Amino acid sequence: MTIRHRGTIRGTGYVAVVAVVMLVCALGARSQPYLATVIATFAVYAIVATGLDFVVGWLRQISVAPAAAMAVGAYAGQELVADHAFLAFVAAGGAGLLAGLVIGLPALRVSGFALAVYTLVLVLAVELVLGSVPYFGGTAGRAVVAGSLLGLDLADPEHLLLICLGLLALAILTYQLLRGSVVGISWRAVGQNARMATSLAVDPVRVRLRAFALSGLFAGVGGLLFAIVGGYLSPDQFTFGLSVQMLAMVVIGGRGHPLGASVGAALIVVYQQVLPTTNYNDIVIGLVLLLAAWFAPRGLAPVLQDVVLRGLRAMSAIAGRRRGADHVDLAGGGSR
Amino acid sequence: MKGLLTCEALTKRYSGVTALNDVAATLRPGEVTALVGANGAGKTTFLDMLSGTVGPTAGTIVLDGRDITAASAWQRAELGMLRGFQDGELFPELTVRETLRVATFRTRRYSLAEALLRVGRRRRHDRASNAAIDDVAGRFGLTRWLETEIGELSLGMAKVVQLAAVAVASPSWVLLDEPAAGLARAEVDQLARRLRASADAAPEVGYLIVEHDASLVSIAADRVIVMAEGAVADDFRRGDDGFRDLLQRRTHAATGHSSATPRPEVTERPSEPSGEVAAAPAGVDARGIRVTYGKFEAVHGIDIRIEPATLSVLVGTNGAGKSSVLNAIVGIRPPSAGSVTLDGADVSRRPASELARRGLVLVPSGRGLMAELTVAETLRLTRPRTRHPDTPDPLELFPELGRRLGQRAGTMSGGEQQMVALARSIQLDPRYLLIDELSLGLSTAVVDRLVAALLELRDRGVGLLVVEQNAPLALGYSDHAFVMNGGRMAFDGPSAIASTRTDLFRPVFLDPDSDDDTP
Amino acid sequence: MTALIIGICIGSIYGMMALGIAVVHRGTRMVNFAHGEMGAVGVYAYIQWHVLDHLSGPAGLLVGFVITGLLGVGFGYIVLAMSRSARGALAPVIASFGVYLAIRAVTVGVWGPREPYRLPELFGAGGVRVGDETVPFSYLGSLATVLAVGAALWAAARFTTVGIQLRATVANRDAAELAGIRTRRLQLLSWFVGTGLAFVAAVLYFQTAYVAAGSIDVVLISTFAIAALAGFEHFGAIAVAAAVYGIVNAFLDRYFTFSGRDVVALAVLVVMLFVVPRGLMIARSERYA
Repeated sequence: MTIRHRGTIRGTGYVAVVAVVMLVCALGARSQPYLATVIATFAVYAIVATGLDFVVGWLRQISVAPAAAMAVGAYAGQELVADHAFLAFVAAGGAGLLAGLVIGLPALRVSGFALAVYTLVLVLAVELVLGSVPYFGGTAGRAVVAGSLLGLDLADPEHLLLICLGLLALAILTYQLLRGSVVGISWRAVGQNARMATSLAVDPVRVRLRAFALSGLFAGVGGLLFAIVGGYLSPDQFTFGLSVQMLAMVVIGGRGHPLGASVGAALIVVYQQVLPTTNYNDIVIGLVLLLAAWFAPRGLAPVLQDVVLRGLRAMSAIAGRRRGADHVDLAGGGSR
Repeated sequence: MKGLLTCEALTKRYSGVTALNDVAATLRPGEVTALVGANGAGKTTFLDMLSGTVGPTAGTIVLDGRDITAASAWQRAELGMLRGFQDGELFPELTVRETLRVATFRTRRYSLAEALLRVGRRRRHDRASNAAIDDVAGRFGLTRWLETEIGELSLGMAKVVQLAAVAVASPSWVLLDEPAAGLARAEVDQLARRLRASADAAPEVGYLIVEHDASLVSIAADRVIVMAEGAVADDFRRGDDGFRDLLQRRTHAATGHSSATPRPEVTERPSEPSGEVAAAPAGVDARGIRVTYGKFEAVHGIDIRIEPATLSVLVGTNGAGKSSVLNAIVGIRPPSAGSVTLDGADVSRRPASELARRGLVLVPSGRGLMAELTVAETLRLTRPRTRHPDTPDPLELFPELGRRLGQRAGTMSGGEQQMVALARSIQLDPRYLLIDELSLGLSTAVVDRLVAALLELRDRGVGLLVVEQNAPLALGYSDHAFVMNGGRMAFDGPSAIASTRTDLFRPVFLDPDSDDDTP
Repeated sequence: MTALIIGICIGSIYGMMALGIAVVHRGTRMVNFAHGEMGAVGVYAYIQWHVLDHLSGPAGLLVGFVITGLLGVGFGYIVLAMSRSARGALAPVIASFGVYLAIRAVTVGVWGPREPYRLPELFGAGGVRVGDETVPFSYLGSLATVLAVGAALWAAARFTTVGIQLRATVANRDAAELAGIRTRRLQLLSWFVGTGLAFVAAVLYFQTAYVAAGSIDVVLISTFAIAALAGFEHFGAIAVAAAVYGIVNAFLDRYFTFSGRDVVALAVLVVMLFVVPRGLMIARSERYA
């Protein structure tokens, strides 16, 4: 799964970090249903935000439509989830993928502000349609009754947590696999300099469509999980505000970094849990988003990575073994 | 013949302006063809249309017997036509290895699904790509930098990466736009030899290179196509009399220094006291000016002094750092180090608008006009509330503008635009006037007219500094000369002495029209 | 006929909002996604001043305008600082989403999430009879206000020195700076005026709607779409697009329920953006590019 070359093995380090963190999460939430739900919420956000990073971090476009793709995925899967949970997830992913394509189509011809505006209009249109068509339960919403998936009971918070964490791991693995492949590299190249990428035989149209579609797939699956975790589905869950939160996670956590979206999602979920729910909560998220865009354009993840690496190096130095240094390098390769 | 690249009746018009007019050419693989000519002769447009960046208004392009006129840029790249850009811009946040991986996309690609699911096949591809990359990186001296992000490389290095990327993609045609621009002397020679060697090693590959640098052309090119005013003016092969002629006579001993590490030579210039004297001498003093773009330092700490009532020129090749110096002095692109004093007062890092109002004015390159503003509106931008009796009236200096007050600046000829730009600046009553590219693209008569106006300003006590590429012309009309090369000051002294110093200059192709008006 | 008149009146409000976005975009090459929220803050300030604290109405309008304008200037200052430190084109846009979230949270926190407020009628009750229907004064007043403000801006841009300097700055900022123009100040002025227009448009809109958190969003979405259709630049295209949108809206009003109308109107905009994503009058802007 990794590209071995001249001793740099990227990815295995990340996988180790992700596996350890997830193990701690899963064990720590045993017989604490509330905590399990909180961590599951984090995982859902992180899945969607990781998908959004294909657009924001790689293509360098702004989309505020992940909430729309989430809604499409959630509504596509909610009927099936009680009896055929696996099919429900396939449906949610497929619907999300299609939604991603629709979101991404204008990206073939415009970029920047115009694209951001288009996604903005789209997210509101989806919200309105869902709210005004009775089939979707209207603005009042409807309850989601979840069945079981792979022998795990989706209604049990602990089982659900395992599924959410598993899917998050899959999302990060996909991200990391793509990042090192010629496919992912050409996507990033299109985002950074489409003209030059084109003159190296990369078709920017195909690249943009695929990145948006994949982003939509992540959002679709995430949307269905979101509804299951909440046990409830209503159009006003999938607002523009939710999209901006997703954007905040990617930017604050670190766009283009495999763990950036997860770091951002964790920060925002922890923040929302620590503070009592008031109307003022979003002030801090909004201002942090502003400051991150201003002063830390690459986000927190690279900084955290540096700190962790330095810590590990220091520890290995104290232990008097240089062997650790090699291991540390495995996790590196992000910013330098 | 296999791999032939031909075009017929190629024409490009932009809203009335014909950039390229009825161009026909047959380019052969195994040859290095250089495309030379003045700025605006249509060289880059021609390259853009061959590479598919710009669609032609009329005409056809045929590669290897196949009409590719309608093919998009990436399709042409996939057919093996690889294009490099003048600015050397790549992907700032990709490493060198990743950049070269993008270049392997043409030959070694796998699908999205394969990247995720068919890990074995993918790994074989990745291994082969990396082996090819290591090989090319070794040849281009990039092995050390493979894991460095492009954004941290110098411009010269980025250009080498661009060439390496083209090489990795195993092209059948290589189209390059001014690969030598902004490179140091030694780098240019190395580039020329590398091109020559690549062409000799792979006779199935064709090269088309837009280039100003005559020495690169003389080392690397098999054939030279001279363009003028959007058409092919001449077409010579190595061995032709015309080819030799072109390189010997039709190139100017224009600008640039020949030695690798020039030392500034200061002649007849007493060193100034460093500002501690109570009555500071009049003049603009820029000291230790350094200008950096990202990690790339374009100007390496130069001193320049503009005296009142003196007409100075600053000459040097494309990319020597002339414009960077002017922009740094007036604060439009502040220098990374160095100081500027205006009549003894420290004005470093003050906004350009303040300096303009304090009498230090720059006419920027490209003249800095606003296309949709009329002449009257343009002049209103700088019109003083009350005119000082000594301030020259711009309409007196350029009476022809008085008849065109209602015309939009964008629709005027180059000479008229330069007059409007000068008029706007003169209204600010400058004590020091800096002009970036006075004569570029203008006829001799217009240049004479403008120089006459500058001399009048000088006689009124204004200190002038004019940037020029055409050194013989500039040295002819100026009192004092600065010669820059590769971001350093190569000469600082009277123009009369500079014109005797042939060692200061190296040959460059300039506008064939202006050949005639130089001695 | 009435629908046509009402449509043009409604469209003029959208046009005013879009005009503000375009003024800011011309000045700084930046689309401020918190534009509408800033206008909403002004409206709340006006409500606080005039409706809740019973202070003078005209002064309240002035206070609202100035507060909105200053919010714009403050954010414009940050945007200019970002562009100086070369953060890339995306950073200010992302920042504007952050500002959106923060401002929304403040307004909801201070003035409540669901309390609907009503603005005093500026143009009086009643209306003009056209055929057998009535066009309310509030609509006609809105149209008149928009036309007056638009004409004043046009005249200012064409005939005043500041206006010409601003146009010069928009066309070529460096060259304007070199001509001795304090371009930063002018750019901030464009933020003040442009964002201030959001307040004007919001006040006009709330003549016929309740003020509540997020109620500006409906206008804003359509407004951004209109601005995008006009390439964020062309005042003429904004006027046309806004009028057409208003008329379509007014006709839809006759055949659909409230939310149905919005759905169809949004669908029209989505399709339009889809078909001509680069804007209606792009040919003109490319001429000057």
